Order: sequence, then C-alpha cells, then structure tokens
Amino acid sequence: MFNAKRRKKTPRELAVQRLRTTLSADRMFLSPRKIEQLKADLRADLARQLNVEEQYVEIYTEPKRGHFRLRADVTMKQTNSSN
Amino acid sequence: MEAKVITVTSGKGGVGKTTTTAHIAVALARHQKKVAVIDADIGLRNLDVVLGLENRIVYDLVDVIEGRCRIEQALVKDKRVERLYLLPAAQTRDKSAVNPAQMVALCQYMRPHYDFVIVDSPAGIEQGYRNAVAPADEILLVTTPDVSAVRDADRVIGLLESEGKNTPQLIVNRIQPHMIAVGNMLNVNDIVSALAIPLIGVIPEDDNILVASNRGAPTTLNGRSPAATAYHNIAGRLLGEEIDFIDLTGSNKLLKRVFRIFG
Repeated sequence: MFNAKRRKKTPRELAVQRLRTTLSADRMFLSPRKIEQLKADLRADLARQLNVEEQYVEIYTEPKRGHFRLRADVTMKQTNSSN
Repeated sequence: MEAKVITVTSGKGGVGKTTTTAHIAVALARHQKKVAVIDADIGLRNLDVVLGLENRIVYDLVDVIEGRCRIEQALVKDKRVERLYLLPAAQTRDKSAVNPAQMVALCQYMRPHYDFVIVDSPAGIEQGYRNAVAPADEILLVTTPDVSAVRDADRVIGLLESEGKNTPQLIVNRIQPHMIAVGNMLNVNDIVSALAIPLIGVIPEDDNILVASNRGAPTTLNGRSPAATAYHNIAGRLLGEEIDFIDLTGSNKLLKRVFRIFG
C-alpha cells in the first residue's frame, strides 16, 4: 500500500533536515555523531511508552534572540483500528 | 548629512556579496543618495570590475590608510550615475595591511560627506571580515539557497551577536523559482526560519547579472530585469519604504487559477 509518510524525501526536504542537523551541531558545539546519539537515546526513551516512527525523530535547534531552543520532532506510528 | 555605514558580508565566498554591493550602491545613487562603496577585499579586489571602474584606479584603500594620498584622491567617481564613488582595495597587499580601528576612523571621516557608505566584505571570518564589519551601523548578510552557504551565514550571525553588533538583515540570492516549485531547492522560508533574522531582499537567479558583470554595468543602472527590480527594492527598503517581496515561490498563479476553474 502507498504510504505518504514513507515517500522519498525531496532534495529540499533533505536539505532542510541536513541544515537543521548541521546548525544544531554548530550551535550546541556537539559533533553530528553526538546529536545522532542524542536522537537514539530520545527515541529509545520515547519508544518505551509511545508508538514512535523510529526513522522520523528529529532533534534540532531553533534560534531565538540571544539563545537557542532545542526541539524534538517525533512522528508517531498510525494505529490502524480496523486490524 | 551623516552617512549610514552598511557592510555586505556572508561568510561563504561566491554567494554574490560584491554583485550585491555594486547593485545596491547603484540603486541608492539612482535614488539621489550620495554613496561611497569601499572594497575591503584587500588582495582580491573585484568591486572595481563589477562596477566597470577598473581602468580609472590611481590610489587605493591601503594608500589612504598609510597616508600616501588623501581619500579624495583615491575615490573614483562613477561617470554614469551621479553621486556614486568607489574606494578600491589594494591588489598587491593582504588583509593585515588594514586593521578594524583604521576602518572605523576612515568611515568616521567619510560620514559627513555621504548618505551611505557601503563596505564590501571579503569572504571568511578572519581579519578582512573583522575590518569590514567594524565600522558597520547595519549589516546585510548574503546567502544562497544551499546548506553550506546558510551554515556559514549562521556562523556569521553568531559572531556578530557575540560582538554586540546589530542583528544583520538577510538577502537570499540566486533563488530559482522553478526548482523551488518541484522541491529541489531550499525556499526562502526554510532559510529565514533556520537563521531567524529579518529578511530584506530576495534576488532571483538572472542571466542578466553575469552579462552586467562582464560589461561592468550593474543592471540597476538602467535595467528592468527581475534581479534589478529586486535590488532596487532592497535599496527602497534601506530608505525606509515598505515594498512587497517579489513572489519567488515558483507557484504559477495563472495555472493555479486554471486548475481551480477546471479542476
């Protein structure tokens, strides 16, 4: 079945994702590897209680005046009640 | 008269700082403002070429700083547009020939005589960049819609913030609406939300810019190309005018209307 969530990302979407990771690493003085570790830890924690789409957990920073906000964008698995 | 000093910078090279500086300077001069542009890219000067003034240079920025000539002797007056002057960079020296305090003093000397002093920064975040941003009242940060240019712009924003400078204003250069429309390019919103600084201009990719650069005649001199319009709009915004941004989202309004009617 066609699943919109699993479609191939466009170059723009990939660029946005890579930009977020890169800027977050730069701003937090963390290596991209550490950010991946942070994602994995968060994913593991969330997966204990929630039905999380594992490949769709994003950690990124949002700049505000004088500081950054650390954000997690977590996509939940859809529960199909007809099954 | 008390000039506003505006520095055009980017972090990454090749995003269009010099082209932007030249076009905005010409546009401001065409708004009847007296404008001086300073090429701060010592050792790699190019603003003279983009402005078509390369054959008229006698003295340069380093000659002024080191006292070999008066600033008035080094300034090259553009004959095509009233009130536009270029202070070229030295080509045979390096960035260390000038320091930030000297740039501040130079701009301070120029302030009473101009409406705008525009400084074209070299790429990077070293001495040349520091020289260029030191005297700035306002900073225009140029980027292109690619990850590396936006990343470097973010680094510059961080540096400016740590130096207590005013928040820069963003120019997104070389936007290609047809690539945005099919999801192949970062759009302006993606860049603005990543950098979180105010947007002052969006410049579309435009073949006329390369032609203009090769001819040494910026399109804002008399052109009506999309990029020329966008640069004139930036000049207007710098003068406090409220001007809508050109729609470069790649959406075809006519097609959308047709689809709405027949869809």
